[in-house]
Amino acid sequence: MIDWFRNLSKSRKQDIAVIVMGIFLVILAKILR
Amino acid sequence: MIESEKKSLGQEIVDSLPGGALVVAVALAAYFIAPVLQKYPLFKTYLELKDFILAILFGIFIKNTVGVSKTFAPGLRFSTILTKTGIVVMGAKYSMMGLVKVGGPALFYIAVFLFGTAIIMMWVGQKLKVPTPLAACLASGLSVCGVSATIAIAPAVRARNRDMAYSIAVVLMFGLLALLLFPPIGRLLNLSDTQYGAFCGVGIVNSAQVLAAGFGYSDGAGLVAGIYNIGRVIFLPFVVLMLAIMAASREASEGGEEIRINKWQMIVDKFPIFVLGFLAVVAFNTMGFLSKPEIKLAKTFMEWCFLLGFASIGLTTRLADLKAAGLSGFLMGFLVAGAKAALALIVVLTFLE
Repeated sequence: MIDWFRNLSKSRKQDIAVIVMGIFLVILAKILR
Repeated sequence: MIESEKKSLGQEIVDSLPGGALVVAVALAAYFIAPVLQKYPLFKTYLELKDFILAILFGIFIKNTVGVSKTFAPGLRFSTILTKTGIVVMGAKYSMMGLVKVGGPALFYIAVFLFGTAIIMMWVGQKLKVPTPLAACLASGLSVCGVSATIAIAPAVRARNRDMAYSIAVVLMFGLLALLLFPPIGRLLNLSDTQYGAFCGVGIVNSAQVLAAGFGYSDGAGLVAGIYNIGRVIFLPFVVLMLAIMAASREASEGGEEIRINKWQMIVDKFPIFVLGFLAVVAFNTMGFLSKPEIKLAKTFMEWCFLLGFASIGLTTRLADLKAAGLSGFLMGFLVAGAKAALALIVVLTFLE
């Protein structure tokens, strides 16, 4: 799994980071309210 | 094993702190100064500079006057990530039904304008004798998305860094002009949120500028512009593929070296998968996962992601890149982008309510 992530292109890693951060913020909004 | 020349995550974070702090400072300045400007008739009536627009303008001003030293560069690289993160969170503001209702026509208009602009740009480029790689970069940048599409097409057409920088600068400059002109045009013509959002979504091509211009008008217009923006981003790999094929055939017909294109690989590689995150959040919301106060807080997170992302876009926009190439490319870019925006306005006034 880690190797798979490391082998991804920079833009793909960015996209995955964006999805994780975005969903994290939505869940955070749910927790904080 | 992590390669020795690569920085550790901790080091990357430390290196990003100065740039991050600068982005926060610019975003805060825009956030606090925007309401003050609204008290003056000039800004209240004619030149509505909401915080999103101000963040971009402040960033551009700093970058192109006092300059931004290299110390800040690592932190500024996160600009794209922050804007895209805001787009994922923006999913909390839509339901699947609403998305389909606005998104259906949006995809149609976007497809017509994207492919149309790209084809016209290549044709105008040939007439103005703009080199094929630069013409392809401009066509990609002005049809799909200034920064990411230019970067996506560059290797396929063997564009030089100068072509890329120039194309990005032309697109961002046109977007900047649009950012200032679109809201007064919208008010003047009394455009509805749907019309204005579509106008921004089709007429402007940089995600940050589309969203800043949209939300600068109203929340409703910003959300419509957001859907058009996502539609545009989804088409990126297809337009890039079409332009790569057009550029390759033109190079070959002019006696240049043959460029081989793996079509399927190009679509898979360039597909913006962060859109799936946006759709996942829309699905959560449609299933009733989020209550109204939760959506409101998510919207606040979205706005700050945008504000920070827009500030860093401004801080990385170099006006000097415009000088890098001749007048023909500049004319080509502004002519086509201006015509596209005018046509977009006619279409939204005719077909949308």
